[in-house]
Amino acid sequence: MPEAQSEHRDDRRARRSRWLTVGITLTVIASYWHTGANAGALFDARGWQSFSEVLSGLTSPDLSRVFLLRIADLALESLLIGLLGTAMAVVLAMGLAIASASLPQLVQDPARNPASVWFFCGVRACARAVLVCFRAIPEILWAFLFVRVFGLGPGPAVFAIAITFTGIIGKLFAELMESIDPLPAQRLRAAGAPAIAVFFYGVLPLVRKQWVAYALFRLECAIRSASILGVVGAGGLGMEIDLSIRYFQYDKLATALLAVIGYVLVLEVVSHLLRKTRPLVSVVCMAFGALAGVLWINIPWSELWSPSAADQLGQFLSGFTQLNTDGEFLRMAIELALITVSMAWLSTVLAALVALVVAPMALSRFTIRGYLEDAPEGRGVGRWAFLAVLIPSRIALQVARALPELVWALLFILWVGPGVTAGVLALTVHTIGILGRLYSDVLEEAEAGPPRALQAMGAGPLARYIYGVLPQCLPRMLAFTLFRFEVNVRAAAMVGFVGAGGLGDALDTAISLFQMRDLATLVVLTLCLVLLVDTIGDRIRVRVLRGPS
Amino acid sequence: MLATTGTSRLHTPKSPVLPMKPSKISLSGVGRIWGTRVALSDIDLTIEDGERIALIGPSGSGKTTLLRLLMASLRASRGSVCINGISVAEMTPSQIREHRRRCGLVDQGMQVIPRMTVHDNVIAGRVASWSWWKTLASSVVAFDRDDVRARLAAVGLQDRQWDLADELSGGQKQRVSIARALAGEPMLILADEPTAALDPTTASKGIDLLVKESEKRRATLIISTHRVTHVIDSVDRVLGLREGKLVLDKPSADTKPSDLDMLYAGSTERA
Repeated sequence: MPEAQSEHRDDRRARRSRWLTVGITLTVIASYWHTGANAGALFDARGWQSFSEVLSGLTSPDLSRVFLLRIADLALESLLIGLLGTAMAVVLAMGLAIASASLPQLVQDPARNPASVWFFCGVRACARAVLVCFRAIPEILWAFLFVRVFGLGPGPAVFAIAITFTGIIGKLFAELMESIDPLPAQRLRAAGAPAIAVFFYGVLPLVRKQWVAYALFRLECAIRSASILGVVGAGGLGMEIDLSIRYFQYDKLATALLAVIGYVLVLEVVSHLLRKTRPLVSVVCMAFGALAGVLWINIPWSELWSPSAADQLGQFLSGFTQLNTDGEFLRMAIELALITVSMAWLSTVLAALVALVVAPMALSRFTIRGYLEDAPEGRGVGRWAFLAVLIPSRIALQVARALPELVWALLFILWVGPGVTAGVLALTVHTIGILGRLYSDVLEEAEAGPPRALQAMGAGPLARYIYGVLPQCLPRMLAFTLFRFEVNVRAAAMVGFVGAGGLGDALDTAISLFQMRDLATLVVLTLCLVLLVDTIGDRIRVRVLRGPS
Repeated sequence: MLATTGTSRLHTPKSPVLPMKPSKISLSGVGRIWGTRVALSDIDLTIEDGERIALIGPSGSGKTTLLRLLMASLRASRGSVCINGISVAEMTPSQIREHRRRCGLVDQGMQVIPRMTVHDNVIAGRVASWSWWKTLASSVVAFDRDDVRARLAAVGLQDRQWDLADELSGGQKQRVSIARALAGEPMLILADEPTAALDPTTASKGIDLLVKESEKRRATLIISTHRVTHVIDSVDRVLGLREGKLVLDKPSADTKPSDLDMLYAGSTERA
């Protein structure tokens, strides 16, 4: 009975999607309840009043010459911090990637003695562990730690970015090396070439291009990140944002925010242009930028080796030898970790729902152009009404994306007060911007045949979206959303540093009060949490992309 | 609820889809240019309501372009296309959409929408006349199950209703696209090479289905095809295009093999 079988399959599929919908809804409700977020705070009269002061400041930004010069100076500082940090990260990452990548073509040698095999295994494990630790701890925590060692200024931001991005870049460099065609290296090996020659002639030429492309992409992220680390006193534009909020100078805040938005826009344009040129041009630009960074930014290199730095490092590391295993503290820490995950989940799902609606609105394909080429559009102004949808959606997504989570957190704290609510709102708004952009890219790439045929049969934008485009794009959109959830877990741990709930709050307290045992425990917990979420996320993502069949 | 209680709509007198006005289409002096290439020139043509037409001609003779002009999904470079006496160039956006809604299209470009069930693929032919909230709801609830099953039964695919469209063979996909074109109860059925991917038996079944459906609802049918022999007995009128010009316009009964030879002279495509 094929018909009955087909019905049965329908039932199974329908049941699965129903359970998925119910499951996601329930987890979102549970997360809301668990985090203790309070949407009502958005409508609180006092919050409105203080936020309206911010808004009135935003309408009259401080455009005095002195202040503009200061902002330009800070923006340049942020740029150089990002450049130098990334350059350092790339160098470190290359070393760690080579040490951590498992390249059988380099080590397959029956004559090797077992001791050296064990040695290399050990090196690989250590390099991987270092990469994981670097990656899993949010850069703001590194920045905070370095501020304690070196004092205020851009130096800590450079080191923080160098370390975090070493972890991120190193992992991908290693993955790229592992996925190359092993044949050239094996041939060289068979011809008796030493390991170093095999690496330079059999491995490096195959990954060079991808390495440069990825490093450039990360450079963009690093510069954006550099513009906010200032909120913990590590230089750059973030410092001005933090100061102007502290001193209620909302006109100055407005200028700084506009600067961040403009700065990110320019950055996107430049990196888009750079990507079109030869990789060597980008490498040279980056090298010059890093050099300028060394000359311009006052980095306390000597402090790195000073006794006080060693002392601080010793104190930090000593915490790990005697973790705080007090039951009460552990319970609190684990509860905070769970709240961090809940915050990330809640904001990712909310943002995905909003982005699902806004992303097509920001595409001219859905609003103005349509899928039919050179079709009669009809007389009247109705068509231009769509511009009223397109332009605001684009601007909203751009602004949401340009301002980092931490800045949104600072703004929402002014509105709803410090706590989880501000954190969730900040993460949600920023994620809407990011997912909106990613979704738009995916939608833009969809096969045009189905929506075009639907439009030819008179289907409106909504029907074209749901029936023509979404089915093609959903798996990739889902994969992006899951990836963003993983990023948001880390981000949720960060927003706490400005008082927006989650693990960051506790980390902040531990650092401020020199409770090194607590700090070490919380760091270990953050590490475990990030690793766990990443591992689960990777598994699910692979399944989603592979599809049901 | 809506999805399970409805009986087969083919057997119910009242259709949930809006009743459609018939349309008479007339083209006068119509030409279409792509860049510098002339796709169509000087087409004068009137298509009466309920006519069944075979549109034949070698590849690149402008068949698809003409179909797109008739659907108001392409601007004419010259001349004017009038639907029920109103020129497309003078229409408002909603009038254009209303005309397009009356069209059912079997398209070469879209056989099926991938990663969607066969059911949803058929429903896609109907969403144009749905309200936005029903369209939205249809992404969660499967509407018109029985009706879609009946439509799929007509193309022999009733047991594949809940399979993913990607899993079908090429011929089955083509049949799904026929079912979809008819799902919106169109008054103007346009089929662009509907039988290109089908074996001869299935091809004639597909054409029969299109003809029967158009007879039943007095809908206009225009089939563009190379396989003249498949359709010549089922249509009233034959239009022949060659190099963008309308060189043949006769009742099918009067069409002689020599007409077709003239149309395909120098071409190897005639089947």
